[in-house]
Amino acid sequence: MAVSVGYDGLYLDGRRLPIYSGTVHYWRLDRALWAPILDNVKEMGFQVVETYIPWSVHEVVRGHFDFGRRTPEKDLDAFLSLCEEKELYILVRPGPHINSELTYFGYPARVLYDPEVMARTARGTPAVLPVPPKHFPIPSYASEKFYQEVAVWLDAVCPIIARHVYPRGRVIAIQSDNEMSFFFRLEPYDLDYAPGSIRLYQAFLRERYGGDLSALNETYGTDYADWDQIEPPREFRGERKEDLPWYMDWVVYKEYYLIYGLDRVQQMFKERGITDIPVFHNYPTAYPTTPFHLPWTEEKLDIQGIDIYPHKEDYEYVKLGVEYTAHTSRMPFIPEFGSGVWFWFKALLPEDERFTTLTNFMHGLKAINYYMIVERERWTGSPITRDNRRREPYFQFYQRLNRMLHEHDLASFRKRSDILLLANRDYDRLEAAVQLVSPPSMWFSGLPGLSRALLASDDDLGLGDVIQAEKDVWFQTMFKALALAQYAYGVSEVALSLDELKRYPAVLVATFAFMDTAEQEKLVAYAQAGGTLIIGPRAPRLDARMRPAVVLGEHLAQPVGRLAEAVVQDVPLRAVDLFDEEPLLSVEGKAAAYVRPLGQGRIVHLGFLPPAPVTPQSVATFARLLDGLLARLGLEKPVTSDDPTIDVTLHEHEGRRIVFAANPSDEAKKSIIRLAGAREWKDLWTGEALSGQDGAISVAIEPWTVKVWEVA
Amino acid sequence: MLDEQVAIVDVDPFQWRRLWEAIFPAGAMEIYPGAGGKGFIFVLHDQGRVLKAVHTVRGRLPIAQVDDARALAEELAREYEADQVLIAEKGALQRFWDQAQLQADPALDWDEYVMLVNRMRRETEGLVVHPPEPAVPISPEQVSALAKWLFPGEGYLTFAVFEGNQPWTSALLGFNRGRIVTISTLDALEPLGLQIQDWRRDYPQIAALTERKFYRPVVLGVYMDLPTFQQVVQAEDQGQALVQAVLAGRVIVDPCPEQLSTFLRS
Repeated sequence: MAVSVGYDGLYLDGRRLPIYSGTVHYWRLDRALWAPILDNVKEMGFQVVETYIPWSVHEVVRGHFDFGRRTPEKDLDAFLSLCEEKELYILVRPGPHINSELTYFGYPARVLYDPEVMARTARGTPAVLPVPPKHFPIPSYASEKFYQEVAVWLDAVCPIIARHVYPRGRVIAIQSDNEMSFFFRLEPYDLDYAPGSIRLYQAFLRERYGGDLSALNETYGTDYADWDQIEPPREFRGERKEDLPWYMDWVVYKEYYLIYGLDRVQQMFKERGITDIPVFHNYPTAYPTTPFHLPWTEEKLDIQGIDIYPHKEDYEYVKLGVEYTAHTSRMPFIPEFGSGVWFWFKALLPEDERFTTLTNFMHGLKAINYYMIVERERWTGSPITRDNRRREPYFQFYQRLNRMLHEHDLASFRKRSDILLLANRDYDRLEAAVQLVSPPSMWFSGLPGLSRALLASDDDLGLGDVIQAEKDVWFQTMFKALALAQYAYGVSEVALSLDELKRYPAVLVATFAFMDTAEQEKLVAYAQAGGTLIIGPRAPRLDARMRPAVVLGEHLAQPVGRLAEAVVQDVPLRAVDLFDEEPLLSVEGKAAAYVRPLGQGRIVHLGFLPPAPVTPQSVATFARLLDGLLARLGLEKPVTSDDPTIDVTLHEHEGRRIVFAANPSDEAKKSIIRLAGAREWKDLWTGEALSGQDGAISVAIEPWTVKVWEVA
Repeated sequence: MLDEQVAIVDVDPFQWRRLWEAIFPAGAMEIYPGAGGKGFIFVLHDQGRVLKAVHTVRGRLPIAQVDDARALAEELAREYEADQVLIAEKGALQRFWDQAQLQADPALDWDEYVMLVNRMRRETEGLVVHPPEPAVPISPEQVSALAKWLFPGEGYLTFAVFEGNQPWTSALLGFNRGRIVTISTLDALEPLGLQIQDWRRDYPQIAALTERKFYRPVVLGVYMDLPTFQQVVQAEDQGQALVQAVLAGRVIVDPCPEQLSTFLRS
């Protein structure tokens, strides 16, 4: 491939191009203004632009398209050529779904209203997306008729794109579809029960069980004679753990469905000559748990990114998403980051964009596309208006930001993370599987928002803990407590490869009564290779199909007792298992946490549940307890702030060091930031130089501000 | 009322944000909801047998049975302090959602569909929201009827609020037979040379430039200062507060369609 993917950007014939891009919608701009608008884009320091290519806008009638013959603004070929003349690289997104605030999200209405194309709910009704300015039926990405229609579109548009693919032109990457997510209706028993999807589900099960129907029957407790007899669950009615595999397979199928759709569209690009550039996709959420599956998607596509439209108050959400993608993706990328917002949302102000954009880089983002860098209909708050005026506060921010990113080559730095906090996908799938009802997105109906946690069953189903609830308490507590304790940590999930896990000195992951065997084996291998594996509260005894599977358990002690609650260092720990081991944490003379050597590494077992519910106070007290445990394990804190509410990160590259510090609050704060060996601190935003004593500087940080220093 | 091909152009982000914050309470319509407020109680039951009872801040609630959902909702709100309580019978939720899908007639405008779904939800036995939604001074259906009354043909509504003489927020709404076909702000008029030095004197520029920009007549213009706007928005009876401000001369209505003048005089 002429364009390859690196962690820090795309490589064009081996030359790195950091992806700092901005969106320009050619068809929504006066053709006469294309050139001066692109000049303005370049003046902000952008080398890359991105555009959707809208099916419904170009289609005149089925099979006939206007690419500029009737309407000059629709001349895609001319727009791509102009970008090339201006020496701008281009990311293209030809759909078929593009949203883009277009009525019908870029599909021709005739396609959406074709009954053979429609997705179906569990009770067989069409599934409606109630989005302004017009509701419409959701299409099924398992419908053959749908792909026949998509082929007509791609037959027309792909030849134009192919002419501009690098190195013939400057199109350097293409997106498969857009925010594929069942159109934001993520709940497991909502859709897609269309006939084509049922067939795809049956084929998926055949693949998942290696063609062995008896294995499926044994797992489900059924006596199917053929794969096509298998019906999907339409609501959760399980009563015991043995009932779970049928439901959880459906949840996994819904992950598969999305990847199937993305791969199918990608293959259609390739069949039409677009073969030499990376294919990427964007999730409509920062933290993509099921039905999204980033590592699995990147087995098919080159890059899987996340989309975020944050206000400054969304710091924790941005941090979690970016930390996740920075430690999970091949190239940590936000294909849509809010540069302005759609018309029915609260506008982003320059102060929002300044704070959240720098938050991205602070937490390890490498590539970003600002959506939209040029305003258009149904959008507000971009740095350039559709008539090429500058919205100065926004414009100046991007100009300054791009200068800093390029001058200091921030993409080449890597965030230091000594501890990797892993989400355990098996438990997220369980939470999805035990949804008591699966509401569609009906936010406009006057009902309050119903999150997945609210709708999950509270039954432990014989698994000992209510895992679907406890896994969130555990993860949220750890995520927030590690920050307060000032450790250098990142976030990923258990699906990460062993090679990737080995990059980190310590891995922290929740384990309960069941866990996929291969994942257990991987964690054991990680510890054996020299890592510190921190798990808890339980040793898994079952695999994800609820069969006996003791892998981690072989290396762990058996509990000799259980306390419903134990207050340790003011922390009300729950469901505390006690062990006859040398205690890392002692409760009533026994070990509630202990360490065992394993190969060249060690396994640390924290045999308790953290306090619930998760509150700022519960996290603050737990952070002190966790800090003590991690210190006893010898884990370091490379950079700290004396005020734990000031978040700090360290980035390193070939001996150079960059420190970020964020104040995600309404109050100005003074803080002493400490980094071993640091003498000179240069503020990369203001250019101000500070001298530190004993590796520390004292700084005032304004509200909602991220500071960036290069430290020598 | 909202045309499916509505043109929304030249929306000033600062003015839009202020309008948004004036209309929606803090936290409403956020895509990434924060942990603010006292929390929300959700009780899901199957013909009285509780499947789930949870307070978003305090955790699980010890409730096993729902007999009188309305009384229980009031009791829970009182006992556990919550901003809102939803008690839902599983079958009722399912029936409501199914009907909402089936009633999505493509002939309906989006806002008509929203109104229909809201009405269906309110009429669905087994869905109890506490506190009940406050009575709105003017229902969406009445807004739609008002738009058709004021804009039987094509025309614009221009609206601006000034802080001193600076536009604080604004909206230019284009109608066609009661349907909104264009949404914009004063940002659209800037390239045409809009210059407001004294808003009470210069406001006619807004209508004149709107007509130049969009080639349609301005039928109704409404202008006021920020204190008046805040007073109206915060009033218990907003419609009455607006009429009083107009009659007191604190709101300029110009042009004013005959039917509205008659109404105001009455």
